[in-house]
Amino acid sequence: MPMHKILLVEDNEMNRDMLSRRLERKGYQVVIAVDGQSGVELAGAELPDLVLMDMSLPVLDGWEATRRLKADPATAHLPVIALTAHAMSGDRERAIAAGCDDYDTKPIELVRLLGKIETLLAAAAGAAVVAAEPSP
Amino acid sequence: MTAPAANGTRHALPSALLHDLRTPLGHIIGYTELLVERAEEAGDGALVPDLRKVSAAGYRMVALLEESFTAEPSEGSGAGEDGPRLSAFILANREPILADWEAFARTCTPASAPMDIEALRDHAGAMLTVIAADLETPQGGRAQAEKSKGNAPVDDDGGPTAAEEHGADRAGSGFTIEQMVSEYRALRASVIRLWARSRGELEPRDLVDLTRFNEAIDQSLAESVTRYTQELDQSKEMFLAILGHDLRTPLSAVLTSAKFMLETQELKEPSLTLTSRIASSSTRMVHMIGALLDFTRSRLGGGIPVVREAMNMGKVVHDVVDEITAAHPSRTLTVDARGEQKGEWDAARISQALTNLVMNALEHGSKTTVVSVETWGDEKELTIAVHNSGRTIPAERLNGIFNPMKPREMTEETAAGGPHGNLGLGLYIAERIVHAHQGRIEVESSDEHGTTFTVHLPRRGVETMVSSSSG
Repeated sequence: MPMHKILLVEDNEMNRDMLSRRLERKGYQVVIAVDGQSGVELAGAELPDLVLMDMSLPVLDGWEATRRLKADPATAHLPVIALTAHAMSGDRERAIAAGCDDYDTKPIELVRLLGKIETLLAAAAGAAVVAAEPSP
Repeated sequence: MTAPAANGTRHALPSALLHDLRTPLGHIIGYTELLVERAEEAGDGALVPDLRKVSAAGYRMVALLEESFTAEPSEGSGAGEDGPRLSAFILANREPILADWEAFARTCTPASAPMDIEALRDHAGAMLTVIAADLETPQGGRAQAEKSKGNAPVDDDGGPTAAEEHGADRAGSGFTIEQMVSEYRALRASVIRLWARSRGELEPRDLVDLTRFNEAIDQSLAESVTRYTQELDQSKEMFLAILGHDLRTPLSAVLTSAKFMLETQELKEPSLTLTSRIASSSTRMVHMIGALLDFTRSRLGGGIPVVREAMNMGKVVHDVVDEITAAHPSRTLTVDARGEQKGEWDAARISQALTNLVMNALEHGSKTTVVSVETWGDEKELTIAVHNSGRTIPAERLNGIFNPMKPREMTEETAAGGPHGNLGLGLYIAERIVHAHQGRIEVESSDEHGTTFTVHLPRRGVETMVSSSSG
């Protein structure tokens, strides 16, 4: 099975370090962007299997970065999980409205996040199989 | 004790606090779990139970924060209806009036706070009695005018009036102020509606009664609103104080464990780095919570306590600057202490205030600028000036810069996860410490001269503060 590539867009150095270490230990390849703008650029260049998007980012915030990813046909199919530090109700709806496929809050509970990542990767793989099948 | 969470979410400080505390907490939990995974894989199970305790402490703190902040303020309710002997009528018809009122009050009960109908009736009943008694008492024009403004004198016994109790209770059970005002409108409407129905045609004397009744209601309402807002301010601060104390226990468990692991000097990479990061994040949280507790103490308990002892200010200034320089080797800090530096102050508190001022200068001055600390003085007082060049503080921010409730300006450095993550309480606490020393603090900021915070401290305390014109 090929190694899945995850793009982590996160400005906080410790969060980046910690989450990328943990994901790498779970067998994921992790590429990193430190703000929304470079996140969008890197998503286009690397075409990862999934994007973990912090929402409060410098330069371009996670909400807008996600909207841009979803508006671009080249990256629109990439599953995006929003990560926010606020457990405010309404953030979830806002994240979905911005085009995110799922949502999680910090501090990260890794087991819960891994569950969401695996679900989205499986759904994306399913969609790819359907798309690849010849139409009758 | 549970703090009323419903009000916390509308408060600038707690929501910033929630965000700020979650960040280092996330680091603590994440790095600890990483250490657990590594230890388990390496077959080195000795540390695992302790590490599990650390991450459990982390989750306990997350749960404390969540419990305290997730409750949402309830929706505002619909408006009341627009609409006595009146006093005799009120006393004789208490039950139907209260039933009418209760029916309305139920329609505006916040879902989150199931209302105690007994308590509601008690307040309303007590208020009706007070109002009826008031209608029996003759009053002159001045008392009437004052009452209509909600300025009537309080009860003779000095205890809370029924209306004040009602306001405090409403704040405690999560009512919005609009809902509480609606209740009064409903009470007024109930009385007038029932009374008008019983009288048929109104006589001139009835109008006098009605006017006085309205004034009595207004007086009660004013009392309730005053108590409601006082109660709310108190409860917010009490809530922060409780949260701060609750967080301290699990946090000290985390910090002690991390320090212990580092002190064994048996850690290899990457465990060493991971553990150092746990220690630095929990140290940052300790500082945040210390600031939080100082904040609540100064608001609830009449100021930050200081213990004056003979000390040398020059030495304290040098120590503070040396310590900060060690932590920020890329920055340049200078000290110039001139003349007599001795006086009676609280050395620990003074160094806390100075640290806050110097850190503020580092955070807001440009990265290449020198931060200078000067002290000088005369017989009576000593002056300390902390200066940085760089961006000018706009005039609208200068006014109220020591007020912790003002929305603060976030810079990359001061953001919670940044190198100096803090709660934005530093200047407030510095000001409170100076104030507790009967001193004063000023700030000036201009493009030409940069930003200077100047502290004036009397060399020794004055036992009884008469009226200090210098403030």
